[in-house]
Amino acid sequence: MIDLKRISKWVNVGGKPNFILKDINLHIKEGEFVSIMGPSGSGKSSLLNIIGMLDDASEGEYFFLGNPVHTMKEKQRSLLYKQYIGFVFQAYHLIDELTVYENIETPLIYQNIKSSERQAMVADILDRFQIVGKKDLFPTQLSGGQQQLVGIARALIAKPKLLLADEPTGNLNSRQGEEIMDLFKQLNKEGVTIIQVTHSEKNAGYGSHIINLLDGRVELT
Amino acid sequence: MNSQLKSILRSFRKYPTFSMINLGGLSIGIAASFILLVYSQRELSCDRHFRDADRIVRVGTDFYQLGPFAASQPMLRDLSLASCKDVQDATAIDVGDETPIRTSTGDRAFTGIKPYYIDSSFFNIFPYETASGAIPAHGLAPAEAILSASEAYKFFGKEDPVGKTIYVGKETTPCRVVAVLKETFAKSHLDPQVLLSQAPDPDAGSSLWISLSKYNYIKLKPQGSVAGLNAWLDRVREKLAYPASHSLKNYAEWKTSGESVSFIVQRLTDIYFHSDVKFDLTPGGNLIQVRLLEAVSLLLITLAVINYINLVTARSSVRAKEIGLKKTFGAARLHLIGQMLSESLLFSVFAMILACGLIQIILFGYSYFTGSALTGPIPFLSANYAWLILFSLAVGLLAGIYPAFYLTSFRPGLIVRSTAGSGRNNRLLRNSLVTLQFAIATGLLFVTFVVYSQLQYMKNKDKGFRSEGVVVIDNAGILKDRLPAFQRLVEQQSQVASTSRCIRMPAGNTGAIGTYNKPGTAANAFVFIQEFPADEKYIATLGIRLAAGRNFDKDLLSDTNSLILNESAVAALGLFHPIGSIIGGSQRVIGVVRDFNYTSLHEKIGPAILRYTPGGSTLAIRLRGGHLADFLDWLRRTGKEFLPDTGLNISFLDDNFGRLAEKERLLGQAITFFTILAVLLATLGLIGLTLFTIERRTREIGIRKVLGADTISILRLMSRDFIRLALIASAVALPISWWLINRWLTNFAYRVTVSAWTFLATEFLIGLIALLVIGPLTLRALLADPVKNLRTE
Repeated sequence: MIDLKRISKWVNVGGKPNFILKDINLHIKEGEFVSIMGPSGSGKSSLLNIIGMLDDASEGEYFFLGNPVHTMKEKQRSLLYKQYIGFVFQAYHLIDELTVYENIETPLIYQNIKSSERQAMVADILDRFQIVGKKDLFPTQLSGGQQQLVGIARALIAKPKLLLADEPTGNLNSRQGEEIMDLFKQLNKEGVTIIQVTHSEKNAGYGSHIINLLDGRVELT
Repeated sequence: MNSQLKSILRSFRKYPTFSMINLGGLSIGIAASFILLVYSQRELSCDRHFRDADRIVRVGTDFYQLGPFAASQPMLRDLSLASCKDVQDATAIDVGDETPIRTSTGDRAFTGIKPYYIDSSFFNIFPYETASGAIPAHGLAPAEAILSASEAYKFFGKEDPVGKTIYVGKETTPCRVVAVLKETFAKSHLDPQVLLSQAPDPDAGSSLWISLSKYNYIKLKPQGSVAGLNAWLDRVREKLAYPASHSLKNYAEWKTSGESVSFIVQRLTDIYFHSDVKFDLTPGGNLIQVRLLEAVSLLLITLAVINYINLVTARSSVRAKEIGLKKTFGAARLHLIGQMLSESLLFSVFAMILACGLIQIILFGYSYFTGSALTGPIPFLSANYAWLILFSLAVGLLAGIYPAFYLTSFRPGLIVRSTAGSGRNNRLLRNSLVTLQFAIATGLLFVTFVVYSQLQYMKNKDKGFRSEGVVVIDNAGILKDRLPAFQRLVEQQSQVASTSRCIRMPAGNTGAIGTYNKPGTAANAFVFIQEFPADEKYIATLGIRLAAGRNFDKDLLSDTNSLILNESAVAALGLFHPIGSIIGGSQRVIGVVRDFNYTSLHEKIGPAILRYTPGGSTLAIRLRGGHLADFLDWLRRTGKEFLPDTGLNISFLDDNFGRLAEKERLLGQAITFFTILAVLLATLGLIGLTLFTIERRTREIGIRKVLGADTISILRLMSRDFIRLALIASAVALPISWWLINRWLTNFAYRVTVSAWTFLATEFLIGLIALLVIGPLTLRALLADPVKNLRTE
């Protein structure tokens, strides 16, 4: 599903390239549950952003489902990730001005799905996550765990093949964290490929596969 | 204070755009609204600077319903001084005709000056100050003159004119300049340019009450009253004017009849705004227009204050952090409020300094774009500038209060933690402020459109004749018996289509009125009808349209007793078959012309007649077009040949109509100019606010982008709120401004109807401005990397 070949990312500091990622080669198959680990500043989030097409690599090739992402224009890329990728963030990134329902519905609007269909899809997922009662609340009225649940619901609403999660439990207490990880495991069983960035050995344990990053390189395990 | 100064300067360096918008907006607002305040104060205090202005009145008169007139009978002064117990002093000003004045006998003459011939009481009532020389204690002696500062400069440049001689009139009577009046910023309806002594009036003892030649001003005793003066004038009416009329009616009948003589007492302080009398010395002001511009001034400063509030709270996330930190170190809220307030005060002082320069630039820009001065230069270091300082500080305080309280209200913990959650609670206020701004801009634009379209309407309205391409020489009569030769010479010019001699032109200064008995009614049921004595070429020269009957024929002797009516006159006289009817005893109606405007469009066209009168003193020339400049050159040159001294009074009929709309033109200019400033201010505010909204919603834009939103949908999202607010603003502003401008429009008998297009154009322009501001700024935010935006936490 994902093929990274000699991917590097750097920023220029005082005229000298400062490497964030260096020579990353990675192959992730459909159905995997991968955890990316490493200390702060090791480039975990950058790698995730590049996989999620939110950011460009400075160098290297990236194939997603066989498509050469590194040669694509912004618009094609956007079409690709709209269809296949869902994001979950550490800080949830819900839109404060929208209700739970509207937050979950937003990606569908951008995929031009008809209103009646949207209703059915959002109702399904609210039901599945057992947050029907919260659908008219605003994000600030929810606890962190609930907000993250909404965030995951939003990420899954368009039925993505790949779920990218950047420290999804980072802002949650351990009980809420466990619930979220159980949910991820469940989703993975249903066939969703998951890549998560995490600090926690325990959370990484939920995955089928761990990638360790140090100073922008993959540490072989 | 020092640390505040430092903090302002630092934030300037750090946020140059924000700070420039803020400072620029505030100083434009202060400068523009200050200018308008000075303007309206100057208008409203017209003539109030004269000592005891509240005890000075002017006596005008009316007779045969021709007036009311600003001037009155020459004998009033002596009579009132002798027999009215309320009068302390009285002066009669005789305003001369345009008189050529030279500084040496052989020199070119200065023209266009109407000297005031004054008596010994003039300076008792109007105590002018002098710039040089002194006003003689007992008034001007026969060969003495006093000049206004501007005339003195025109005549003598920078030299001191006192002691020099000017030569007055065709006779070049030498007069020694004894004093120069000091220039004042204060406005007055009197405009003395050259003051000369008044010769003893041969009519001072006259009993002719149906005449006017003097502007009579009276100063009442401190214990005197207008009522007392009116009572005395009533006795003058009964004991002098009525007997002199030799009327057959008894006094009670005469008093209410059309032939009576009456007096009008106006307070000096009322003359400027409430003068609807004829032959006033200077055109009066219009209170509605002054109030309108005063309102514009208030709106401008409101816009500037809102801008300040919005822009300061927009940076609240930055400032709130600083304040939160200070709070955690134990700063008291009151102290912080004081700090914020002194910051905004300091800011307004900066703005004021900038405004001082801007005032000059705006005044210059105004006269550059409009060709007329709004107030004249505002004298520096005058009381006005003390007001400017107070005004600016008040603005600073007003603008600073809300941000000070808002920003210091955060709980420190909340701020240190994150920037989130700072939206909702003051969203209502900010939305209201934006709505108010939109409302002000919308209302002003709408009013400007309406004023402008009324001006266009007045210019282009079908006046019932063709006013363009007509040259008027209203003093052709001084050519006397050489006028026919001159007229023939004019007619030979290739550019001339026809010429006409007449007494009265539309939009002219001459008036004539007749009373006609309506056929079939009582003998004393008169209709007043405007008269236009003219020759047989008047209708063709002016392009008046004949509706029925025929024009005058110079070969028909009987036509000297013939009349041509306008349609209003036909209606007023109730004639069903006007052609051939006899009115006014023996005068036969031979034709009917369509109604034509002969005075300003404020007034409805009244009944008018043309009476066949060859040999009038005004020459009207209809041009064919082409080589207009050559013709005017020729006309001036030839005029000089015929009349080396005075020259001809050449004007265009269109311009004469334009002069009747002078006040409206001034208003149009002022309101357009300041509306542009207001829209500029509102635009600045909108830029600031859009930047703010984008700052606040960067995260949201980022999220939506990650969720797959495209550019269009985000542009729509960002502008939707503003458009909605703009629509609410229009719903509030348009009805109010429509109501207000309708009140102004009711001044005109002939006025535009405000069409739906005006509303639509206003809306369209506001929407366009909003989109032009929001679009590029949002695009800029969109092009930024969404990841960067989401990483900020």
